[in-house]
Amino acid sequence: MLTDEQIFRYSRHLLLPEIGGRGQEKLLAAKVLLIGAGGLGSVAAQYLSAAGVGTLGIMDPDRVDLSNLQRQLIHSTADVGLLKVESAKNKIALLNPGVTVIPYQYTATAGSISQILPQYDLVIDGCDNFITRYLVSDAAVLYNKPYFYGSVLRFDGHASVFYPPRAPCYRCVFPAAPLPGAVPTCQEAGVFNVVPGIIGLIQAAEALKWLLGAGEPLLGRLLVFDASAMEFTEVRIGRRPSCAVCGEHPAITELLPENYEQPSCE
Amino acid sequence: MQPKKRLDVTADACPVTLVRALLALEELAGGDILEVHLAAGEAAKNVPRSLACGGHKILSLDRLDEDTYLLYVEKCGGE
Ligand SMILES: [Zn+2]
Repeated sequence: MLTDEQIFRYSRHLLLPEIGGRGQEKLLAAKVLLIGAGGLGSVAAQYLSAAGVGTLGIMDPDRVDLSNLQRQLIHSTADVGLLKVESAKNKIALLNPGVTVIPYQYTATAGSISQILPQYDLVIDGCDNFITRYLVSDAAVLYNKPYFYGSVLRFDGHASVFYPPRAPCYRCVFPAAPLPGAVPTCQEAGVFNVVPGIIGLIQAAEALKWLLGAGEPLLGRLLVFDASAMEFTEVRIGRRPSCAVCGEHPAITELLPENYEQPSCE
Repeated sequence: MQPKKRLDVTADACPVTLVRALLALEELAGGDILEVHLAAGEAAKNVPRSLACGGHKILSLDRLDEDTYLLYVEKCGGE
């Protein structure tokens, strides 16, 4: 049963036939894992919290830096120097004290992810390095969790929901990481600040829809956003039988730490 | 007309009046009847209209007294 406070707080969702009391109860019971409290994670965390997702795990090893504030809006100037997970937790407590935030102030590793991911319903990727992304994606396949992908660079962004066997996994579409140096990181390339906002919101929207069982999920479709032209393009993506993790003869059947060694998430 | 459930939202304002009615209807089966006490004015005007828009059947809406209306609504999906 919803409390009076919840009836008021969530009234605009309760009015939607796609959500209603039953949907709200699903959100309150849901557990979402967010990898990264950066640009994408900032937005996703705030909207999921405002919607009343009951438990949010947030994993990020970093501290808030002045250069983050241009796009990571969950953090404030006064938070510079704080752990991002602490800063995010404080902000969420102000927004919706009904949400339980579980901070993980460390880098995603094979060990930490295999401990933590099974406790959650789904995972949202707000990280911007390839090693972590492959790690999270492979873990999602192995633990059968839907993986809400987003990435941003300069004026461009991507989003999709990866979930084999219904849809491809990240490796089906991007079999191998580009060689180091071939793709600039956010630190070197710059990012138009609204792009992670928009992509993070798409991830949040898909995660909420998934938890509610509402609408059509972004499965088998890669949404490509170009803020410069202000254009969304949809690319059909399919599973690859030779995929190393979800294919017919997968080479990856467990998370081996040596396959995911790298510096931390930005 | 035998209501399965009674609800008094005379103390509430829009849209919480409607939200409480919708939440009560969610707990009922299709064809069940909900009795709702509504404050005269905005709530008595809007709640029945919104419930009808949502596909529920308004069976009756009567003035009980100066300040209160009595609504009987049948949950959609009965037959
Ligand atoms: Zn795959």
